Amino acid sequence: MTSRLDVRGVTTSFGGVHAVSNVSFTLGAGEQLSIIGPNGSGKTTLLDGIAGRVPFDDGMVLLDGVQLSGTPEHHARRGIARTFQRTQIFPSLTLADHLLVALRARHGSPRLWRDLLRVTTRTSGEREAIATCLGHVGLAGKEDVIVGTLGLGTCRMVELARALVTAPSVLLLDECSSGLDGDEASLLVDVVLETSARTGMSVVAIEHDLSVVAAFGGEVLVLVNGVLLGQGHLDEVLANPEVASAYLGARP
Amino acid sequence: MSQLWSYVLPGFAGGCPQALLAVAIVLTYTATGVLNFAASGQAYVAGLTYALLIEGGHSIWFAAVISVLVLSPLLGVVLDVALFSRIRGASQTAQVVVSLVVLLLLEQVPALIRGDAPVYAPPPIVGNASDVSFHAGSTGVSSEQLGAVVITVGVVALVAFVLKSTRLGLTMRAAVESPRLLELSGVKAFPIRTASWMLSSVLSGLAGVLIAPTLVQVSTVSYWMVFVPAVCAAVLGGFRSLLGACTAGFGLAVLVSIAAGYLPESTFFQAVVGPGIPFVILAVCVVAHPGMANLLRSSDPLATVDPPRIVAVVPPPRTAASWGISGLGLAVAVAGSLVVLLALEPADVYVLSTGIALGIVFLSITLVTGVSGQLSLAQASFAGIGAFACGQLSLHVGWGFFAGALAGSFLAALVSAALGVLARRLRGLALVLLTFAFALLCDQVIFQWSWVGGGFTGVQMPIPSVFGTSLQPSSRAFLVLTMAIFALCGVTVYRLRVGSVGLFAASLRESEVGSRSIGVSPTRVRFELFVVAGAIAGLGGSLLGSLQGVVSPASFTIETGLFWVVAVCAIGSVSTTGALLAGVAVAISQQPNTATTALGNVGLWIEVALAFSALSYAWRPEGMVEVLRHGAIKQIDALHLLTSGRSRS
Ligand SMILES: Nc1ncnc2c1ncn2[C@@H]1O[C@H](COP(=O)(O)OP(=O)(O)O)[C@@H](O)[C@H]1O
Ligand SMILES: [Mg+2]
Repeated sequence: MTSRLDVRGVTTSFGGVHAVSNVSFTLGAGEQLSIIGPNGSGKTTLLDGIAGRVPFDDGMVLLDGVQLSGTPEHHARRGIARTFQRTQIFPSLTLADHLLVALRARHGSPRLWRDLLRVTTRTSGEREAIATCLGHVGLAGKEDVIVGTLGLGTCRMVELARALVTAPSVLLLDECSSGLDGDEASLLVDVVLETSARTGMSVVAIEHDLSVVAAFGGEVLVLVNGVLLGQGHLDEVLANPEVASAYLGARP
Repeated sequence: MSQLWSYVLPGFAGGCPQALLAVAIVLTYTATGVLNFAASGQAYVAGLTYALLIEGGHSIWFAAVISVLVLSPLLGVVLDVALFSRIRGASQTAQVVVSLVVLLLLEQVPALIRGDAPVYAPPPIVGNASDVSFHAGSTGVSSEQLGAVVITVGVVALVAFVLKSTRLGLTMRAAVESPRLLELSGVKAFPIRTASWMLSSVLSGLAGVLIAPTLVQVSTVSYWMVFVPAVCAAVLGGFRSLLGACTAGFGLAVLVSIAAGYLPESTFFQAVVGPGIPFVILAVCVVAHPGMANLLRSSDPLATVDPPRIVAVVPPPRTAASWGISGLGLAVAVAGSLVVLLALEPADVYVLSTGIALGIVFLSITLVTGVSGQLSLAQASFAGIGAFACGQLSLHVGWGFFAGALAGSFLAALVSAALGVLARRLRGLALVLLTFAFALLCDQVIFQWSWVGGGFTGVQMPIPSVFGTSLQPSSRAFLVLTMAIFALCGVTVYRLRVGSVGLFAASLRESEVGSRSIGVSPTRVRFELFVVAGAIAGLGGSLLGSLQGVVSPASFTIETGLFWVVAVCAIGSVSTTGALLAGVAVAISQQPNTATTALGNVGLWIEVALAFSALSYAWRPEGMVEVLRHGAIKQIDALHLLTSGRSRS
């Protein structure tokens, strides 16, 4: 059986910096994987590579056994959705419009002629999908709120909703709990886990907060200076002295 | 061999101003992130001042010192302190718009002050053109040329030395790498930025003073012709390297001089191929240079520390007041049209028709700038392509206006598609540069071919005829036709703006990274909008041409195009209303009746006023119309709250 996501020996360098060196892992459908590691250890670069934003110099990524190549929009249409460490929302658009762009772009169908021939309005299917998705993330009824007016916690939720509305098969989260308080973070984790259980979506989450990592369950990957230092369950990984010294410093 | 020298040496000497200007452009860009189109205007003002001072009986040295070492740095400081330092958070597009405004003002204000009496070429700072200093082979090098080369090389070497070896230079280079890091280490960016504006202004001014003696008359167009290769050289230097830009400036001049010398003597090559070389080189540089696609990307390692400063156009929520305003607008428009149709004099009808036809062309700017968030300087050229195609088809094939206008619109769409394919990786500044090169190519070369632009006399345009009646330009029927076509194009633009394409474009404007991550293809969205914009511009161009009766290359010059962009940015680039009102304003400013009054040239005043108000684009990119509309909605909502609160209590 092929795994959902298969990352084989990927490598990225910027000039002389080896941001990611020869990292491999696999992830089955409906599984979670957390990536931890100090700042600058290449976590975001790894995620960018999987999402197609930065090309890997070497190695390959397979989604359901098919090798991925091309640009982020290509990857998005194949079912990879993501959030960003620095949120990438559309400040002057409403919440509903955020989800609408994502819904329509998922299929990338030709639109110009349809737009020219009549005023394009939201179909009832689109309305329904948006309302359902907003309900899942606890933003029900906020369709017409302009996102630029929201706080960081809600913006992260909007980004998550924008990713989830496309019904992705792999969700990539980049420090989605940073800047959130405990309640917001646990709500976010709940939403992700619930969706994953419901739809079989796989999750790769970069996390700093170990309590969030524990909440995600699943395997943990430790990345230090672009190198995979350990892999396994959180307790096993933390028990590894190499990881402890590189990442957490000396611990009593 | 000596023939080669006879091309190389003058080329080298002639390359001085563009090398200096290139260094100035790169200096400003690296230190402040502004692609300064106004550099050509700064050079013009310095050259003009130099010429006028000498004309007024001052000595050459006095004139040179005043124009290069006093006026130019002053201008640099004013530009920085009063303008560019205040818009650092604005988008690069907005900064380009502001620099275009500065350019227009620098070109128009002298005309406003002193009228348009010709200014003849002043003598050079050193040497003179007929005095041969030495011979290389059989080619004599004049002392003027020698002097220019010595001054240029000396000044660039001095600038390079200052940047390499002094403390000021070190901080300036640091400011280029990371203004944030520099500020964190306790150095204020302010004097550094101002210093680099001063320095680049001095370089531009010196370029301007070196150009002036080589001209017949000191005119703005001649400065454009130096600015283009200078931008080319800056592109070749990757907008990073001063010495690279300087070398490229000289190199290009020599290359063009050699190419011009060795081109076959036939008029086709001399008149057609030769003049196009600089623009084609610029286009090729922009498309092929690997750095250009990423010109927008900051290399500041601390750039991610700051949240991006966006000028968000947050639309007010749709309330009763906003529907009321829209309804009122519609009612006023209908009532206004009725009044206009019944009561206007033919001359006014003509101005209004022209304004609406211009409004159609401006709708293409709405699509590219307001919807797609890009800046194209070539929309006037697409209008020209439409008009010339319509005119030539009528002249040679006997097509009527409507068939010709459709064909012209189609051709303009095709050409913009071709340009769009070339530009598919480009956005922001790189796209500005490519459209600039294309607009110049049209202006200086393509429209000059008589089988396109009709030569000196221009092309006679067909007059539309409906049910066998031909519509005279100043007739009400023509006005109705223009209104109908505007409505058609306006509906198209509106549908695109509120439809899927507009939604995708909006998401791309706000976060390209975010949109791509959900599957939006920026290339495709921008391409589609660009092509539709080309078609609309072509159609509007035909209509405009038909109103004018005859179109010539002078109808669609690069300056016209720049002014149009500025006018739309001032009045409103995001709505059809904005395009319409901008069209009418420009038509009024160009109307011959208002040309001269007690105030001088009223049209010129309107242009200057429009340019000034376009400066607000940096702060409120949605333009005057939207600002007023949002303001009105807010007022009414507040009033509504107040009264409803009172009735409750
Ligand atoms: N676009 C880039 N250009 C150059 N270096 C980069 C770029 N992106 C990341 N890096 C470098 O790659 C390394 C890993 O960065 P990143 O993936 O952001 O780490 P993390 O997300 O683990 O904090 C860092 O040393 C960073 O400076
Ligand atoms: Mg990171």
